[in-house]
Amino acid sequence: MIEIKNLKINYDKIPIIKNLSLLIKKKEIVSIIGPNGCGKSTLLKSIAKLINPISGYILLDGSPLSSFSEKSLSKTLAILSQHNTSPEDITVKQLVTYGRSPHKNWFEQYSKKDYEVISWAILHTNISNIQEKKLSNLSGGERQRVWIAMCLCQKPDILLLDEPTTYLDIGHQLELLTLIRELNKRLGITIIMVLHDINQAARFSNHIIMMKDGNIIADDTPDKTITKENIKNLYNIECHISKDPISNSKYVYPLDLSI
Amino acid sequence: MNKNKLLKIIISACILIFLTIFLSTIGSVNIPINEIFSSLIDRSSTSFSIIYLIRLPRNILAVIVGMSLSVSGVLLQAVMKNPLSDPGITGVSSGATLMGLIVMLALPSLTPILSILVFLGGFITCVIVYTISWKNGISPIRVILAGISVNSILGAGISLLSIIFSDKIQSVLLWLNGSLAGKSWESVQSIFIYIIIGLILAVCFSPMANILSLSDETVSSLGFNINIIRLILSSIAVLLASITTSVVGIIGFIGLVVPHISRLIIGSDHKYLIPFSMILGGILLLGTDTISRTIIQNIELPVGIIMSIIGGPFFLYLLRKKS
Repeated sequence: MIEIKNLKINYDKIPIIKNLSLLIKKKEIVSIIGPNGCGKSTLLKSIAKLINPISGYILLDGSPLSSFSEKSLSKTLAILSQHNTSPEDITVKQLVTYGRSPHKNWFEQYSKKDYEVISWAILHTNISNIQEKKLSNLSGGERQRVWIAMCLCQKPDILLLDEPTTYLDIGHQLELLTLIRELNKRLGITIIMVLHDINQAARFSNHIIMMKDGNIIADDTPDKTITKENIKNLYNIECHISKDPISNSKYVYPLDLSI
Repeated sequence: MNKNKLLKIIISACILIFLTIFLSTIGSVNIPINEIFSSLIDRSSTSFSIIYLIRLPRNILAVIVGMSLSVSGVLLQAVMKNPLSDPGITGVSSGATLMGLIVMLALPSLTPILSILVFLGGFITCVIVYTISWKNGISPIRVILAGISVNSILGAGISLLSIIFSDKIQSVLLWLNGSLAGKSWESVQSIFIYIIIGLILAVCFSPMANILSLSDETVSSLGFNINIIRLILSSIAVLLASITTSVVGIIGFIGLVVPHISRLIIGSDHKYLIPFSMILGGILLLGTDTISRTIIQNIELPVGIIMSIIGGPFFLYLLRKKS
């Protein structure tokens, strides 16, 4: 469980998150949505301790985030950033192997157990057929799965994803979100992700957090949060809302900018 | 372990050892190869003193200097995430040069401890560059910018000294361009142990250099303290560069170009890249030093000049071939 109380974060003295409180339950899929620059990524990074707050605190299973060392945190929490870099000639397997680093000391050799975890991560992300390939030769969708496999090697209870579907075509978006849902269902990993597509958020998450100007304006199930008023408040657009005939989740049709 | 890459390292190491010995027979006096071993028996022979007292120490110095400058370059390119980084970017070269000029031109009475002062000049400049650029941690771009600024300030000092002491500048020109001329076992001994320690540390810390190829956020989220990694690798790199500079002066280009050539040949995994750059750097400086002392009879050309003339086109060739 993650509990955030009165969180305040500044970037160069400009407030990005202003007095934010939040509770995220275990084993949920939570999507954070909101307009550009509303502080979604900042919130995600602060949960991963990549950014330190000015005031307020974040509790992870009851203990303050500040009491975790970088290493101990990386064993329970993994984050997939929006932009990732890697050497041109690294192979999929080499990259995935880095995910075991939190469980190792510098000069420690990888044990049989480590290799088992690596195979397990490769299996669950469905990349066994490309594990010997170079990362630079993969498609965007394959590459995202590889990065997720690296995160899985950390054996996290919580997986944070910052716009994981950006730059992917609709087929690969669907494939990735399905994979994420599978990881949540089968492995019980709590998922917190920033998404831009409201309809995908509605379909794939148990919970939606709507953010605007560094504050939360709605925090509930997709059915309760996705309303005409909230969408207008967030994005300044008029919309029509109906049901997705297949998944039965809410579906937003944007109509026009509000006047 | 990748057998193919391991083989490349072993073969290049053999070439290096062979060249170090073989090139000791070449020079103003050429000595038949079979005398390499036979001269060992008669220690009073001319061949013995030419090979074992003059050329071999110089060759070994060339090898360890080439090794340390190349490894220093690899480490700094990893730390800065910038392919244009070389030991010079940290201010080591300009700090060492300025100190060298001050001692040789203005305070000749301190010449006996020239090496130590030059080492300190380079090292302290680097500490200043890192201190200026520290702000909640090391940011590569700030180090590079601070390095450029400090380099240009010290560069002004260097020019000023050269003008004030223009009558004496001729004598320090060779040192400024880096030279291995007249180096004996004493020079090798004075730096050997530190260089070996530095090189071993570099190999041991190669996993750290690999981790730095990921984005800063990824490194942190994998549980590493990125500032500590950067500090450790920078320290090794700067020590290697400033120690060699203190003995042989400024030899540019090698720290920049050897890591790139090595990357084209053996890939970017530092587990292989660091040992291979080390060996290639040794071969390259040994080769260029041999050319610089043999190409024109009775004249020693600064090895740095030869390095740029040969290394530059070779690097461009590899670059074209790869793409």
